[in-house]
Amino acid sequence: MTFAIGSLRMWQRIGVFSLAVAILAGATHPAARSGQSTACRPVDAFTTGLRDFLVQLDTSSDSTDTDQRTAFGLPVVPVTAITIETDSLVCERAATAYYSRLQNRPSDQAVAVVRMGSVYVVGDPRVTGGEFVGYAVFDSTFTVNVSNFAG
Amino acid sequence: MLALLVAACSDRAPLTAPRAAAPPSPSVSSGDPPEPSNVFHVDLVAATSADNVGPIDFAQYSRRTLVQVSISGTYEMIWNVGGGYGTSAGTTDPGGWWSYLYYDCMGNAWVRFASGGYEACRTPSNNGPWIDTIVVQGIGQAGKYPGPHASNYYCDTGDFPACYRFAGLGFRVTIQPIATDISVSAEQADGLSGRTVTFTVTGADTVQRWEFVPDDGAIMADRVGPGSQAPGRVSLDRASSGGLGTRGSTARVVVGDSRALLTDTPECIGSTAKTCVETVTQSGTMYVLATVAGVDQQASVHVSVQPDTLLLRASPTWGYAGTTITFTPSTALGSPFQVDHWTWIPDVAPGATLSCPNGDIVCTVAVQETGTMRVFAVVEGKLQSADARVRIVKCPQGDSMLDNPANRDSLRNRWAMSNASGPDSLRLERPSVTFRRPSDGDYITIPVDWPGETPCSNPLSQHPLPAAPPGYVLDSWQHSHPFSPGEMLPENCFPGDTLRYRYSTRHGGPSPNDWGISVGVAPFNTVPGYIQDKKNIYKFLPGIADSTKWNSKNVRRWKRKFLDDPNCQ
Repeated sequence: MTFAIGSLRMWQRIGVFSLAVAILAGATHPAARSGQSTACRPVDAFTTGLRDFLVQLDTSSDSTDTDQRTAFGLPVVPVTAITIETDSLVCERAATAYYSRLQNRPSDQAVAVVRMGSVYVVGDPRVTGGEFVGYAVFDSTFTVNVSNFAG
Repeated sequence: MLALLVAACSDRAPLTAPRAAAPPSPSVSSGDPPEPSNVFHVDLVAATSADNVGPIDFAQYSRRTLVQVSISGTYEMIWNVGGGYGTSAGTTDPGGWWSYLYYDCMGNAWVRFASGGYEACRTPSNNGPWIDTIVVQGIGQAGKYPGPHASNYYCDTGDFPACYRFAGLGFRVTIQPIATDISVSAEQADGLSGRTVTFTVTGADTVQRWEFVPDDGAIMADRVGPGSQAPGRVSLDRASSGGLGTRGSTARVVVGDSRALLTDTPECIGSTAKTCVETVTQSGTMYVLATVAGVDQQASVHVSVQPDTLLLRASPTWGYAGTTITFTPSTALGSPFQVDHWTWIPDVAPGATLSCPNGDIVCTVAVQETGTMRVFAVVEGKLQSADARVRIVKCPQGDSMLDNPANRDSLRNRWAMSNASGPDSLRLERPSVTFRRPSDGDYITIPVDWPGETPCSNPLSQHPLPAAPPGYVLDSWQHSHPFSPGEMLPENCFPGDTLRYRYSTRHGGPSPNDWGISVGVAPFNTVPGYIQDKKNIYKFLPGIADSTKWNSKNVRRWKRKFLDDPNCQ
C-alpha cells in the first residue's frame, strides 16, 4: 500500500510515504541535514532493521523465509557473520554499484550495507517502488549483482 | 402488513367504463374502453298491475364495471275494477306509486346484479328520473314488482282481479358503461409500512365519490351505517336522499360485508377530494367517479396488496461449532404471527444441530454446523416460512476477523481480483475495509477500489472510506500483495529503475508504507491492518511509531492455506 501516485517517479514520492521513509531513515541523518555526500548510512533503524531481517532469513526454517533466502541468493552463515558495514570504502563501492543501476540518484549517496558472509546487501530507504524499498545483493567485489529484493 | 403493487391506469388510454375491476391477480389494471356489446336493454312487459315481471336475465359483465342504469317509459293504466272500469287511471313510470298505507313504492322496476343493483322507487321527495350509477359484475336481472294497487278495491291479490290493465310500451331498462377520459394514479405513501396509498385523479372537474372494490370482496359503494343489511344481501337505502348518482337517484346500493371492506382510515370513501389517502388492507381496485364538463366519468387503479412477510433473524449469524445462536422471527410490517414449527437444514446432512420445539416463539440452539434454520408460522391466516442462514467456522485461526466466513469470502474475492496467478505486471493490489457490529459480532467487508491500483500499490488511504453501516464500526483494513515472497516483481513496480526486484517480507509482511499509514493516517491508525500475499496472511496493529519494530516480531502471520482449502470453507 502506498500514498504515492503510481505515476510519480522515485525521489518524488510525497505524503505519508515520505513520513514513513523519514522515520526509517532517521530524522538526524547528517547527510539529510547538510546535503554532504557520504557513503555509509549511520547505524539507524533502517540499517539495523535490514540486518535483523537478514538474520531472520538466515536462521529461520519457515518456508516463507527460506524461500526468500534462496530467491535472493543469500548464503547460510553464522549470525556473527551478518554485520553492518561501516567502512566508508566498502560503502562507497556499494553505493557505486547500487546507484549505477538507477536513473534517478540522490545527491547524497548514502547506503545501508550489511555484510552476510560472502555477499553484501545494500539499500537506501529513498529508493522505492510502489510501497516498497528496493535492496540489492552483490558479491564481495560488487561486480556481480546477485539479486534485488523489495520490501 | 401490506406490500403494495400499484397498477395505474394508463394516461394514454384513459379508463373508460366499463372500468371492470381486475381479475383477482396482482397488479392488473383494467383499461379497456367500453364496447357496444356492453350496452344492454330489456323491456319490462306487464299486462296488468297484478303481474310480477321478472327476474329477466338481460345483461352480463365479466368484470366489475361502473355503469349508468336508466329505467324509462310509462304504462297507461286503465281501471279494471270499480265503477270506472275501462277508463283511464293515469300513468305509472318505473318508480311506481308511493303508498302511504304501506309506506313504500309499488309497481316499481328494479335492476339487480350479484354485486349490487338499483331500484327505482318513487317517494314523496323523489319523482325520478330513474337513473343511477353503480358498479356491477356478473349477470344482471331486471323486473317489475306488482302494482300500483288500488287501496279502495279488492284487487291484485288472491282470486281478485287486477286493479289496472296496462297499455303502452311499458318500461325499458338500459344499462351502459360510463366513458371516461380521466385517470387515477396511486402511490405508496409510506414506503416503510406499505399500508397507505395516495390516490389522485387527474382530468376531473369534480369528484363525486371514490369507491374501493376488493378483488375478492364486494363493492363498497359507501359507508355502511348501523342497521345496514346483512352481508351479501342487497338492500335499498330508501331513507337516503340524493343518492350516489348525479341524476337524482335515491337508491344506494350496499353489498357485502362492510366490516371487511372498511379500512382503518377510510378517507377516500365518501370523499370528494381529488387526492385522498387510504389505508388499503387487501388487493382491489379504487374507482373514482368524477365529473368532466358535466359528464360523469370513471377511472380506476388496481392496487395489489401482498401479505406481510415472515422474517427470521439469527444472532449471531456465525460462530464456532457449538455456538449458541438465537433465531428470532418477525414480520416485515409488524403483523402478528403464530409460530408453528422449526426445522434445521444442515448444508451437509446429517447435521448434529437440533431443531427447536414446535411452537417456540424464539429458538435458541447450539449450532454445530453450517446450515439454515427454517421457521414456519402463520401470518395473516396463511402459513409462511422464513430462513436464517448460519455459518460455522471451519479451520478456526483464532482471529475473529479471519474466522468470520463472510470475511473469508471477501478475502478470497479480493485475492481473485488481484489476478495473482496472472502476468505479474497485470496484478493489482486490492483493498477492502471491514466493519463489525459490536452487538452481535457480525461483520461486513466492503471492497474499495479506486483508480491507481498497481501491482505494488493502491490508493486506499488517499480517499474517504465508505461509511459504516448503521450499528457497525470500523474493524480493520486489508489489501493484497499479489506475490509470493521471493517472487520477481514486475518492472512497473519500480518505474525508471532498470533493476528487477523480488518481493520480500522485509518488514514482516506489511510494507514500510503500510506501517506508516498505520501510524499516521486516520482512521487506519486506529484499527488493525491485514495483508495477504501468496503464502501468508499478515496482521499488524496500529500506532507502532517506532520503525525499529516494523518487523515480523510485531506481525501475526498465518499460512493462507486455510483460505483456499475447500475443507475450510
